[in-house]
Amino acid sequence: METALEMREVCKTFYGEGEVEIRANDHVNFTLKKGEIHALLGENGAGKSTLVMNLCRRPDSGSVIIEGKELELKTPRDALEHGIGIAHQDLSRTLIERHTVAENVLSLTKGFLLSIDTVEEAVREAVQKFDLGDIDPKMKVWKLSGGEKQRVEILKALITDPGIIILDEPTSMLTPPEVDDLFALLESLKAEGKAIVIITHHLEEAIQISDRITVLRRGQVVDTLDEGRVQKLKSNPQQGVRELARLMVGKETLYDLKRQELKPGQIVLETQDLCVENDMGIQVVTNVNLGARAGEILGIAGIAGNGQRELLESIVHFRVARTGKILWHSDAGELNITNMSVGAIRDLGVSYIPENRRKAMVLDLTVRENLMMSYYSDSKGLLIDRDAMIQLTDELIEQFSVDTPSPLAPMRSMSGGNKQKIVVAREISRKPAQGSRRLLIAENPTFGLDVATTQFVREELLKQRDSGAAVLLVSSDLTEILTLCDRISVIYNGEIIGTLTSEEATRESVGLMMGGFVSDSIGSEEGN
Amino acid sequence: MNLESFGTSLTRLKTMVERGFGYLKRKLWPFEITFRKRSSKLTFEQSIRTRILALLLGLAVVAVIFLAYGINPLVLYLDIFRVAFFTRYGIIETLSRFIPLLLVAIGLAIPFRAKIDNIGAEGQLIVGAIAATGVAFSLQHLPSGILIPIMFLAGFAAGALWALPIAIFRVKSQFKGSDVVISFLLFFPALYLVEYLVTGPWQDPAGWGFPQSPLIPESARIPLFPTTRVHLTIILAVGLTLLIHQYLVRTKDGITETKLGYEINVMGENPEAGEAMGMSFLKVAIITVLLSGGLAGLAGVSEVAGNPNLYRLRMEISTGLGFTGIAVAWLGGLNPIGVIVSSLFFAGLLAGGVEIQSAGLPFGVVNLFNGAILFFVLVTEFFLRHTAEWRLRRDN
Ligand SMILES: Nc1ncnc2c1ncn2[C@@H]1O[C@H](COP(=O)(O)OP(=O)(O)O)[C@@H](O)[C@H]1O
Ligand SMILES: [Mg+2]
Repeated sequence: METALEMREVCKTFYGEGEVEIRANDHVNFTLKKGEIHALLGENGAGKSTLVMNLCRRPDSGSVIIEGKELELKTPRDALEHGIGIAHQDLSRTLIERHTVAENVLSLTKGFLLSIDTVEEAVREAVQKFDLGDIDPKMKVWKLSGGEKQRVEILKALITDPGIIILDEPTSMLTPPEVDDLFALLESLKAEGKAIVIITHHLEEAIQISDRITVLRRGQVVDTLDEGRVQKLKSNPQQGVRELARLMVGKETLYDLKRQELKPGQIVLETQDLCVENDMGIQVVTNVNLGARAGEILGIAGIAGNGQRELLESIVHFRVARTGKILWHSDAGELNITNMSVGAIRDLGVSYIPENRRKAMVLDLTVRENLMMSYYSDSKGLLIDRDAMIQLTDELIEQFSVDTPSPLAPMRSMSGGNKQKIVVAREISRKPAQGSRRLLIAENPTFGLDVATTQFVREELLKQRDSGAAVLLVSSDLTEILTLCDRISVIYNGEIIGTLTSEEATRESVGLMMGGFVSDSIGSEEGN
Repeated sequence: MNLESFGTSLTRLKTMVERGFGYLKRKLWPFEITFRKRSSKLTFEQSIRTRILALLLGLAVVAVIFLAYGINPLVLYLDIFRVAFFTRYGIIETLSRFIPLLLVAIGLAIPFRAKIDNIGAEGQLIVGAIAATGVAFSLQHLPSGILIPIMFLAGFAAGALWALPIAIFRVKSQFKGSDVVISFLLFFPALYLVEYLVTGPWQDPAGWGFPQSPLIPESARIPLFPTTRVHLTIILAVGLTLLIHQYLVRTKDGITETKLGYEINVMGENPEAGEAMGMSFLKVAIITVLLSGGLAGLAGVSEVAGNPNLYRLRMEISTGLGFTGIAVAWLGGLNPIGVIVSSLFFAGLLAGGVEIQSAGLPFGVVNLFNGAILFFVLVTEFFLRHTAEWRLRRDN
């Protein structure tokens, strides 16, 4: 079969907040043939989206070859002109909410002075042709449901009749029958000789639909399974899913973390029917009931963007809860802390390790000033108790072996691992208010860290649990969730769709639930 | 020709033009520049050196204008310097400009440190002057020792109140970042208010229709140092500056004296982190802006009640000190001690500015220095804090 697209040795590095270096693509080789469906698999953050983005945004190095010609595709327009249609993963970035469906499609059209009627007609025709359900081209995008938006994005990838079709997690918000329809459509497009890439988290789906499979891990290609091997997986999907999962995570069942027996205590923080809206005013957290217990790590697993950020923000109060309650339990009884100020909530005994490193540290201040941030307000009156701060910060540096020449070194000069160590040291050493328990909230705390620091952070979380603190761990890293948590609540589309104990949880069961399937009741949730 | 094909040909044309420009750009400017923040802080000597450099560059740019008028800038600069700091008249005039300039600039330095932009100190100075005048006339039966402090308090309060909206416009998400605009716009109502007062209700009935208020009563005038025209406010101004240095700015072992000082430092660098860790940006913004407006208000009081050329409210209360103060604060590195030095320098420029007049140019030329020096301070500071990396473009 002819090669439609080839990427050779492409690299792309991002510098995240706090100057974390992320090698999203690290010398990746990838080929796509005409008339095949090629599945791209990998954990969250493996670099799948980055890989396909190389077709509309120049990689740092490496080459992109289409139809045998080395090309430089710098903009989505370039991709379009070379016959590549892409449905992106992050709909909030690719669809303009305030515009209608047709207006969103307009950006793909060539020419000038087009009447919107023509585009609307074209959209109607395409919806018919590809059988994408009913999409009204005149409808404003923000009024559409998640599934409908996803179908609009798919439509955008198909409407220009491209030879190469790329779908980045096109099924995450579709119902099972819609997924079947989409797959039937892909089969027919394949029969027309189109080259198709599909990115998905559902391993069965991948096995079912694809001819070849490429697995990415931490920015590198782990393996590309050819037709023969994929055929073998198809014959025994159960076994196949397990094999793919193993490839995705690697052999590293990670580290051997010693954990003491679970001694869960009383509930420290509880949410009751909590509903939260995102910045657009759309409700993204729905009726969440959680209870974080002392001496336990409660994990919230989910694919990024399913409401976990907004949920946490409402608990630590950067974000107003729309309805529902957040309660704090201590010896003094029950306290309603819904929408209390950040400072007041922290004074009760809540510590927070934000995912966004920018929120956790001030790069232009010294290490000491960064460590002080959670303690300076303990001094009485308007002045800072300087001696206490010096003693405290020196102790923290010593105790957590932060590698710094001096407490007065600028934070910016620290390595990524050391920066996060400083944040973790600061947050877990806080003392709760009198008669109160501690709650530590950690949001993807090991993201982008080197192995040693990752190990350090995880050990510290376990130590917190063993010393009787309640730990709420939000992570999109399944391995992290599975190795650390005593209970795992899975969030999908803003709802907690199930909670498993560490004994019940397996990579497959949690993975499936993260994709929106409740293992023993698949289908019962359908249609909403 | 139908519209669609017309459109297509336009797009083609556009693409051709874009490609053409792209090609030229690649040929003529084959570099990519990236700026990255340095990981080390500026040392004391570095910041002094940059400021002197900025100062010299600013003076050099203005020198070009003098040259264009056939004036030798070196001679002129030396003259300004000589008059401002080495003549009795000049020294007194320098000190008399130093007082309000220092009050304004030290006030501005506080919110600037928290990255809150108040460029409307001029307006705050005016309302401070208005408040002081109002108090002087309505409470004139009080003895000096009570009246003058009340005038200062009223001036502070008026200036602070005038500045308050800036904090809200800086922090509240709907307006975020409009602090520059709002602070500048608030200057105009203040100016119109003073115009209204001195041509209307407060106009001096015995003043032959001049737009000015009557002279304020003797009891409301700030005492002068004997045999000079320098008033005692200089002690207040320097004292407040030292207090601000001690409590908000100075660090020992990397730690400021007060919580507020620390919060200002955090907010100035990263308000998101501060808020995530429980600080309130709004609180910091309100306090810094109130202090800033209040100090500008004090400058207004000192002009009305201390400057023997005035002793009354006039339109001429607004001489642009509030705007000059911005350049002064930055030239002083937003550090109180530095601000004292830079205030002295700019006060000298204003005092020695008479030399510009005697050279045949309008006095307003003095204001050129503000802009030129401020520009170079900001530019040099940027280049010291960042490293620039030049690379040949890959696609060449
Ligand atoms: N624009 C960006 N800026 C910074 N980091 C990014 C950006 N895009 C992706 N990343 C990071 O690169 C890594 C790979 O991301 P991505 O390709 O989206 O993963 P996947 O699609 O496999 O889940 C992640 O760690 C992600 O956070
Ligand atoms: Mg992705």
